Amino acid sequence: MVTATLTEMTRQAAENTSRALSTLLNREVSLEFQNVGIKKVEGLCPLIGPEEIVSTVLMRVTGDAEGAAMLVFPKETTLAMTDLLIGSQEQGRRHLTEMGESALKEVGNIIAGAYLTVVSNAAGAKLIEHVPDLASDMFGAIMSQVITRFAREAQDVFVVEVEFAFPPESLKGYFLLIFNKSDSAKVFGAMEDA
Amino acid sequence: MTTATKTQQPADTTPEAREHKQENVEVHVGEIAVVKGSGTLCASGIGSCVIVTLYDPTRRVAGLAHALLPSSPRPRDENASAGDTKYVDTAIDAMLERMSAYGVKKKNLEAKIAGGANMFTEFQSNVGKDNVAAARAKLKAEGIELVGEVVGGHIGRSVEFCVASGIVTAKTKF
Repeated sequence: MVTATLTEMTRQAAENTSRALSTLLNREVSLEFQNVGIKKVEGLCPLIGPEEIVSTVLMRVTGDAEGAAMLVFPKETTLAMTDLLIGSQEQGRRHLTEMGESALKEVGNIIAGAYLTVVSNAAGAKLIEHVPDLASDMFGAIMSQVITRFAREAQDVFVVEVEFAFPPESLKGYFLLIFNKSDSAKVFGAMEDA
Repeated sequence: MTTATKTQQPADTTPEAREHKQENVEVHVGEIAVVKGSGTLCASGIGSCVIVTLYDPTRRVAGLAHALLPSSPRPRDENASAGDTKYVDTAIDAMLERMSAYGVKKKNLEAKIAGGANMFTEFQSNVGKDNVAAARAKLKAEGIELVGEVVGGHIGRSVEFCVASGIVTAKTKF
């Protein structure tokens, strides 16, 4: 169920992220967060297939709750996104450059920072975001390691579709938040009910 | 001819139900499947998980476990189930039990393992290594020969296990 609190938190995070990215890139960038919700981990499969190649920016979260924030892009979106972020002129390029990886990490950092700030406020919990890490591989392979680390039992994951509008183009990815079993109810409960 | 596995899922999504519906059986995280005769056992998008395949070449009985974690917490955790197939050790136990129903003897089995990667470079996790170590140790304890492995690294894999031939194919995508 999408509560008014979740919708408001998402609006605030989108505003903050849009402002930060527009400033960083010196051009108009707007983000829309759609289909926001808290799902069971296994509910992610219909969104992204286990063998689909994705790039995932992962940031550990510590503090009053331990978990991870992730920004996930399908492969083609990843390349288009980095072109827009760093103004690459290498048409037809099929792999991520070091500069592209760094730019993606920064976008992940900005979105996670914006979301964690509003979640922190709602939950009354101190959440610390760590340095971003990046993996490009099959979605199932990446997620299984994250699930193993943070959610050894069937767990909830916060999912939101992120649409980046770089007029006239727009690109879509997913932002995920997952926490340890013991912290999950505390954080997600606050997100739904605050 | 098939037999299978755990679980606490609805009946129509169990590996057993899938085995009856199709030649290619997808074995999801925390599940096992055992098949005799023909078909393919598959596991997609394996990162730190480990795949353990067991094969009796004379009877053409094949088992595949897609385990998430190294070893069952029992007996420390009384709630842990001996048949919990998300753990390497109990998944192998469960496969052996299923395979014994086909008359398979442990001494005739050959094992292969795949997976156990660490998908991130800075986000440190030993679970992949631990999964591989647990699989090797369990197979050794059971006296089952480990005839091949494709493990470790920073890359995801998908596995196909041909029941008729016993050949295991590990694919990467990049």
